[in-house]
Amino acid sequence: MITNALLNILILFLNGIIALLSSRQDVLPNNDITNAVLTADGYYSAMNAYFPVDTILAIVTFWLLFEFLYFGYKLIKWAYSKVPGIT
Amino acid sequence: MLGSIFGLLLGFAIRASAATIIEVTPEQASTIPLQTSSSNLWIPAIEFQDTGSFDTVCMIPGFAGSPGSEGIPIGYYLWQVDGWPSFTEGTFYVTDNYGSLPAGNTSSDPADWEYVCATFDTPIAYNAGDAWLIAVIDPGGTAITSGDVPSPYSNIQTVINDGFLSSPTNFTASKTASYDFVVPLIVSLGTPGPPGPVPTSIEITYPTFATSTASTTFETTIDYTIGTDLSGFSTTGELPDDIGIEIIILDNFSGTQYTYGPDYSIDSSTGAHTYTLEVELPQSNYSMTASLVGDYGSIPVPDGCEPIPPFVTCTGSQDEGRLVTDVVGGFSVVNGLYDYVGFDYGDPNSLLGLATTTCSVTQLGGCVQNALIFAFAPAPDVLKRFQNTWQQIQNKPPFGYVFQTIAALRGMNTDAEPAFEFPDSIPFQDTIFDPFRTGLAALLWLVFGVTFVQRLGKIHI
Repeated sequence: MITNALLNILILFLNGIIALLSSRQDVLPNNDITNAVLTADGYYSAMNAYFPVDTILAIVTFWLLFEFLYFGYKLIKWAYSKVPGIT
Repeated sequence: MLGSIFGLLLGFAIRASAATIIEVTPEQASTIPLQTSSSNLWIPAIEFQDTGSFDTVCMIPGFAGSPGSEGIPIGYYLWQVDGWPSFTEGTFYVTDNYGSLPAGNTSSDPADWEYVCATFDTPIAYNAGDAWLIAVIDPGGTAITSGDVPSPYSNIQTVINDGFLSSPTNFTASKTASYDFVVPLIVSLGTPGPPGPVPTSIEITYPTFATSTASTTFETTIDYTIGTDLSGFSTTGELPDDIGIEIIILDNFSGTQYTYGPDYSIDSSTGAHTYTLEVELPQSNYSMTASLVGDYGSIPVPDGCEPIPPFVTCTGSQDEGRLVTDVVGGFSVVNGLYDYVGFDYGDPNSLLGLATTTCSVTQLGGCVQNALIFAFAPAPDVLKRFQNTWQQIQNKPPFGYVFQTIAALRGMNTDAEPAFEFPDSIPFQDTIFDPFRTGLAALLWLVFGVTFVQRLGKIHI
């Protein structure tokens, strides 16, 4: 019952978004965006043979993830400090 | 003769007066294998995507003969036909005015080639969905009248039956001499690739499940509709030998892709049909794509081109052309859960399998179990509605682009075919780039490690 209610709320919300976008045609597979990514894949692969692109991506991803988690922690801590009676 | 002069045609365009411009660029055209025999008859077909009119036809008769051919007049035939390839009737047009072959088009360098346009005195109207055949003609300095023109239907049909790129055996010598057809390919207009302007449809219903047991065998039924009778494709030789159905199931979690088929035993006649696939899938969430595909077998599809019936587009080489594709919504195979939680999400009648009959005054534990199931276990129809809605939102822009981009990014890997690389004859890779890359990667990790430790020192918990 509880899960059903949550799912129904989500469905209602998603249907509202779909209704707003009803005039837009569905995205076709192989559109320009995905084609661009797939094309970039070839250059990424080629560059990676000479330059450690994968290492840079791994470091950047790790760093962003760390900062995101730390920011989330600070956000929760800030919200917690706003609870009356907690300093 | 002009057949040898125009032996190599590399592109075409129709520039419509109503701002409709349809063209194959010289870059695209350069991927098309060139024709060198004057006895061949190559016919392009185009299909308009909207309604309008045009009064000018332009093509690139590239490498059209030897120096000295410049200045010869060039005109075009056009047939508006009903359907393709099995067109049954057509309206015939000849350009009223002729273009002139530029000197650059006698060069072997595509950079020198230019469009040659011929015009109609009166604009020609077209409608969305119209299929047109185009051929290049040489008037030989003499205006062509419709009486001079061979029956477009009978001759073109004969050529098609002779096979793709073959000689038009019943095209009489006099006609051939008078009207050389030198158009090199069948090409579709607009953005090439599936689903393309194909006069066929496939409509696939949501898979139905047969998952009432604890096994992981997944059975799906696909109802598909074929708008045009495709069974005739197996007889002409230049179009697919057969039509089949191919199903690709993608594991949305692991990315594993399962391909089944193509199964050429399907019914390819006009109408609604059902195809059933029974496979064993591990428990996961899946999306499924079904396609009608054409088996080209020994059909001489030009290198760099892809047969997408009834057209050929030059987007990639493969033996099988994809007719039309329909993406089926996601589904889950959760039968494996049966062993652990006692019910099958795929079976709407078995959800209450979790419930127990041991609820009584003396067995309150069973009552608590049933209450918890009632409170938290989602109903299968709600789950299914949620999956359907989620699939819909994934297909709508802008979310669709995000999901597809994420999927494309997930597909990126260092094993992809490199867009460029140094020649093997130069030992750059082993002697320079590999040590450089290894050293730089180690240096980057070292710098990152030091910086990260410094960053940790500034964090206040």
